[in-house]
Amino acid sequence: MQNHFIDVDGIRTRYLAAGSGKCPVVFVHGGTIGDAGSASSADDFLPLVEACGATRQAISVDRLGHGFTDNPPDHDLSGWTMAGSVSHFIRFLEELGAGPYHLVGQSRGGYVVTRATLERPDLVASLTIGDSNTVAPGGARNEGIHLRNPHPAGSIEAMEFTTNLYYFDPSTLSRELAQKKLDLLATPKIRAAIKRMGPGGYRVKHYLPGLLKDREELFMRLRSEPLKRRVQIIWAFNDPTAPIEMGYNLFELISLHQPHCSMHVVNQSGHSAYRERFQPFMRVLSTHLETVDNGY
Amino acid sequence: MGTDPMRVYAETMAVDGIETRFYRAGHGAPVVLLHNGHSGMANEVHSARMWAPVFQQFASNFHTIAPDRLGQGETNVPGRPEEYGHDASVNHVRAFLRRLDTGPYHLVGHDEGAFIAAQIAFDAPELVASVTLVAANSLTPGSDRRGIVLQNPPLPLLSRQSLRWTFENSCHSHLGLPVEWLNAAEEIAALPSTQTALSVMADEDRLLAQQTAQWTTTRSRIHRLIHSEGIPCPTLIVWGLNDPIAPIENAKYLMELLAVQQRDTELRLLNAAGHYPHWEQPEAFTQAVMSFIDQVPELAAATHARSLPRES
Repeated sequence: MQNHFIDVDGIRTRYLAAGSGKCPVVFVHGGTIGDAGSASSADDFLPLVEACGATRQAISVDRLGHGFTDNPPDHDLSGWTMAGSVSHFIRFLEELGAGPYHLVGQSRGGYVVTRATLERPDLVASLTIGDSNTVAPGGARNEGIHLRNPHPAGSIEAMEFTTNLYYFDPSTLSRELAQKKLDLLATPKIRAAIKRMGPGGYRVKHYLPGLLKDREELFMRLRSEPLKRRVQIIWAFNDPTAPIEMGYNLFELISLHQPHCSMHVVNQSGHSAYRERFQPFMRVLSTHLETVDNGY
Repeated sequence: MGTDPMRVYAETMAVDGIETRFYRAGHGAPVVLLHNGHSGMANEVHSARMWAPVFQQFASNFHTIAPDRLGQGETNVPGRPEEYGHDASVNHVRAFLRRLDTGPYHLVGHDEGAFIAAQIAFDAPELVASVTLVAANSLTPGSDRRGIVLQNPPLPLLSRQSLRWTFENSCHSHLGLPVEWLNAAEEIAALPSTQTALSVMADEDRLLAQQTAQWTTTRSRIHRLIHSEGIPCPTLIVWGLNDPIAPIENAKYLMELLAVQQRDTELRLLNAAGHYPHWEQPEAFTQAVMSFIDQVPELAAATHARSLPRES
């Protein structure tokens, strides 16, 4: 898989790409900038990018301050929030210049792609949201899991603790991917982000308050205006951090104004349905994309 | 029979002495579409022709078969009143499948048809490769709003006006009712076999004993099996968000029941669809169900491999 870098308003942004042709699909990962216990990045979607790359251009991008994309400058407070993550993503799509795109967002990435669809439908061909408690009304369980983690940040034990509480079958997270995430956590760039966001830092001062406000505003808007593209929600029945009830809430909220909204629930999977139940996830996703490509 | 697009695929076959109407077209894996309802209902008629909005789409990908169930549509009624009811209807479908002899089948059942699909999956697993349960309220231990929503239809019952009202009120939008089906329903309501079934099941004691009691007894047995063993094949539940009869909560409830024992249980919810999602969202319906059926062998194989003892 080829690594690419693109300049987005001075932020060196990394993305993976495979395949060519048709309307491109862009995958957006979850996670919180400067999160010490996990390291979400574009690599999470390698199998999906490979599979989709067989029939179209498939792209997976490191969000602002994640993976190998630069951290925002220290003075740019908004860069350290979800709002900053959304702006960076929209600018990335513009700089790439290959739109409109099929957007697929997982977890916090589901919020990013939903916001992007709401603000910039011109860049979007279709929307897919996977297990995102960030974008769904209701009570999320992820912060509690991170609070309960007794192990040192960035340690293999801390990652195993999180994995056990995020997965239906923890053995699905390969040793190889776990090691990749640990390596990522050890890079100076991510270390700097962890320090910036850590205890008493931007996480509690800016990130969480900003998200709380933006999320409420998003729900208010979705109650009164449509997402202007077809929506496919894919959710894991056993997700311990984004409970299935939140998925149902999101489906009913978007369905108020978008008739082409559909929800697909897969069984025996935790938070990462695209990894734990790859077969049905990929099937539902590709059927959705083809339906839109074919003009329905 | 007018412009009914399924007409050209009509065939007839004797199944245990019952002249059985079915529609068959296409090549590939065998898919059987089972419509809802039961014989002798006072205010509705049903038949395989309710699948008309999706039949050809299925037939372009699969060997697609849609029978009229016992004493419904243009399939004949039993000879004696004692031979009506839930058990007889299930036995008829099972005998029909055996007689066709092209299984194992992917059963796609709607409401009562979904119940029968699940029952056959337990009782004759060799016949069934997968089940798709559409608006499967009769299988779900939740509330049924039929008695509220479809109470007090215009009279006389089974007139075009009354049928139109009943089906329109089962949909999300009154525009969801295909006029081809309304025409077909009117014709079916006038058939001598429909009239015979009506008079037989007008006997309330008989309706209670042979339809309601047989169904609820079987449902208890099926629920015990769901808890102890699980449906023995990949299962897709499909439900309309706006189903006025079968509330969406029942879809979630059914998912909760089935997901415990069957790894390959999936739930698909469609917006802007009522009790007949194959009428109101035919495209989304066929895409979801057909892609599931295509993947069933792969899903079943992967799940089977997991159940084998892992190498240490």
